[in-house]
Amino acid sequence: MAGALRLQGQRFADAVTRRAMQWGSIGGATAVYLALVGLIQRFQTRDVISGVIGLGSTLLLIVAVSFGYTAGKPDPEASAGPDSSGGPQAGGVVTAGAVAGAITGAITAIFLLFASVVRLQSVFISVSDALLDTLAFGRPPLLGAVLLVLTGALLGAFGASAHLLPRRFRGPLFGGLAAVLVFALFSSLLRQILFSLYIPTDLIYSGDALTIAGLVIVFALTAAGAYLWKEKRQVAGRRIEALPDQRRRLVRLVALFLVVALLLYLPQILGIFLSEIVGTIGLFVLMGIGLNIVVGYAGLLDLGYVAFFAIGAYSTAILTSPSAPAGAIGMNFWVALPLVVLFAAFCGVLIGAPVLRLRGDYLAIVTLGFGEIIRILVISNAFAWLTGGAQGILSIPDPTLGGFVFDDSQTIYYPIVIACLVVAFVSARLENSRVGRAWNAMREDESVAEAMGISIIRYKLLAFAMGAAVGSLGGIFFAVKIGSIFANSFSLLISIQILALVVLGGMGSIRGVVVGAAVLVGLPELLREFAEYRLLFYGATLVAIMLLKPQGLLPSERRKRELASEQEEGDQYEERAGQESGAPVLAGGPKEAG
Amino acid sequence: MPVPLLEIKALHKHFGGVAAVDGVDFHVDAGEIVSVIGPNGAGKTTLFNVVSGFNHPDSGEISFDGQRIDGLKPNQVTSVGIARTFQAVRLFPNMTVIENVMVGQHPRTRAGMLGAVLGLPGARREERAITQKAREILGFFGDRFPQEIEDEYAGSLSYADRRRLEVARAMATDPKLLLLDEPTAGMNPAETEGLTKLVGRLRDDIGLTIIVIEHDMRLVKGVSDRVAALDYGKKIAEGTYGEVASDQHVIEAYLGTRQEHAS
Repeated sequence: MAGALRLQGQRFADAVTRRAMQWGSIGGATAVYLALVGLIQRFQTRDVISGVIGLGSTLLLIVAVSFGYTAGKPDPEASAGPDSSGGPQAGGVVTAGAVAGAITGAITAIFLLFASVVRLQSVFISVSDALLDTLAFGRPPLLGAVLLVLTGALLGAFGASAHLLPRRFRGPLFGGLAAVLVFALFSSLLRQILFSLYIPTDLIYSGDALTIAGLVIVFALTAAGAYLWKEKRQVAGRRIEALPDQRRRLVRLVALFLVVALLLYLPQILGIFLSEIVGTIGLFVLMGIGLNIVVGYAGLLDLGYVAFFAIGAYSTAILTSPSAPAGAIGMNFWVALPLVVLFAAFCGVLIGAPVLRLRGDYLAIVTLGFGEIIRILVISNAFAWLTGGAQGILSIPDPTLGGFVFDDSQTIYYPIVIACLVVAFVSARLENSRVGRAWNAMREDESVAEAMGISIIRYKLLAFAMGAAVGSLGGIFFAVKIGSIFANSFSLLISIQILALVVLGGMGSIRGVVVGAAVLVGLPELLREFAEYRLLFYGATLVAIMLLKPQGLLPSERRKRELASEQEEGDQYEERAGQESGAPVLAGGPKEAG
Repeated sequence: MPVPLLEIKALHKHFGGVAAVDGVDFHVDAGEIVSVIGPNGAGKTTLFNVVSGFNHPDSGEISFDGQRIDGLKPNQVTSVGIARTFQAVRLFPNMTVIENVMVGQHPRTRAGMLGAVLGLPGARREERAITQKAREILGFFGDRFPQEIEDEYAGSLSYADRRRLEVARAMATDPKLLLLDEPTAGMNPAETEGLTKLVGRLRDDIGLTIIVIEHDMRLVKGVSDRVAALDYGKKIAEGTYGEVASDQHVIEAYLGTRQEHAS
């Protein structure tokens, strides 16, 4: 018995070491990769804490901590192992983190030593002396290498020890650290926002970087806020629940009023540049909600959604622009708006009709084709008399309302936000109605839905029309926001981006669309400073989110369940596969997230 | 003599070279419970699929309530008043129990997009009525679907409850004729007995006419006014349970194999 226990303990230790080595190696590879592509050195030009640590070093630090954290993640299998007391396991967790961190450090150190002997710069232009200096903490290479391993181990152990913290502290800790990073990264924007709120920033910022006081303040405030929010949210929720109906309605009204007030005042806080970004996010929210109706509710995978964006934008331009190629109609924007929406809905039916019989992948391919057809038609010479071909349509007038001109990013913001609110309301109402249920049933099982008396043709067309109408709003406001449109603004990439933000936010969830748009559209705009690495971040963020939260950032309840049941099936399969081969199956990250 | 509720004349349905339904004449009077039996591959489910509009017949006529329904789409057949369940349970697993029953009421309700979006009084009243009726239908199953369970996802129910929910969903379409495709498949004897009672109650309490495809002879014997036996797409016998069970063709085609291990 004791022998068996020891054997089991041995196996447990082996598993921990193997995991630590695996994650450590990946961490090391990541660090070296970041150094090779020049990210570290490029980032190092920015300080996170003024005069203390640069952004590049911080990036390496994050790599070590996060891989230590991952390596130290208590194994679900191991917790059922010999010692469930938690004592020896705590040691195991920290050791695993330290080992992973040390390996990350060691691989970086090997790279450092190698690069300091062999000149790599002729191949990897980013491997400069400055980079090596950064990696070696400004010391000679050999000392730097030792320091790398040691700090790596320390950071890895720190990351792993987060698992030993009670859950309620873990969130605030990471929240606080993330807030520090955000404050450092977007310092110029945040300084400006704080300035417009009359909050002095000299204490926490020095130039573009945080001061040490700033670090402490930002961390403490965010961590405390996150802690209190977590602790008190449920209590507050319960207390509101317990209120009599009338009072509860009052609470809700006050909350609504606050949100509206914030939305109204937002452009003033944000300033011109950020308002511009928020406006762009708003356009994508509009299109995301539209596509969400088609894909999330009705289950029709549409890869050519940009078509409706283009239809909205071009129709608006043709109807309102005095320099429209087919002759100026010069219609008032507010008259054109409903006409364009109706026309887009009609186009939705037109595009939907031929694909009624198609499902899933086939539908996706055909809609992909439709999206491209629209773009090519718009740019073609055959339609140049209407759309201006490659010249596009210029001088689309700004909307005016009773003498007020929506002529810049801070004013066009308002109609966009109002459109978003209206569309979100419509979409939410539809979801929980007879129509929404019919769509849902159709998505779940088309033939059974038909047996329930639901006309598939009618509801598919309805979904296409509705999605097209909502999506065209994005195009309409895009046209008047930019003032001139060209065919190359309506590429396939837009379709993919809209679909990606719907999936990223959580299919079928309106809040998810908003968050997805903020991340996928807002983040790249904010990262313009590091323009050459923008797409790298973009891709990495996408992959990370889909791995860690496959159901999306803010999924709808239904979608969460769907994915959970799929995951379960997958896990069962995995377990079986593991048993058959006799090898233990790696417990992947996404398993826990599901 | 009254016109039968469902009348099928010389119905043919071929899949490639296989005659799944090969010249079947069949009728069901209002208020009857008729069982359709036959070995696997005899064409029972195809018969259901043709009646409910999932397959279109190659030739022959189907009339329901004095009206031709062959060639109608499944949703139109449902609107006319024929509901069905499926051999393999096909619920909407990611919709809740009550939502499944609410979807069933689709052909009997009217609210459109405008009503739903604007929250018009008519649409709201109808929505309340749909919820109300869904609860009533679930109540028909006694303690199987208490109110606590109505917001559970249909996919999380036990197998037998999923079968029951499928019947409830079919009831929600407010049919005159209910087609049950092997309702007891995979059920234990106690559950089968419960279902036999349920089928009886569906007729006696709600006034449904029922056709049931079934392999379980206890249920067939327990509920049927009349039994029709199919083999290779042809009707080989029809009559009371006793008559069909003692029919030589049926014994050869179907019951013969059963008697071997029944004794």
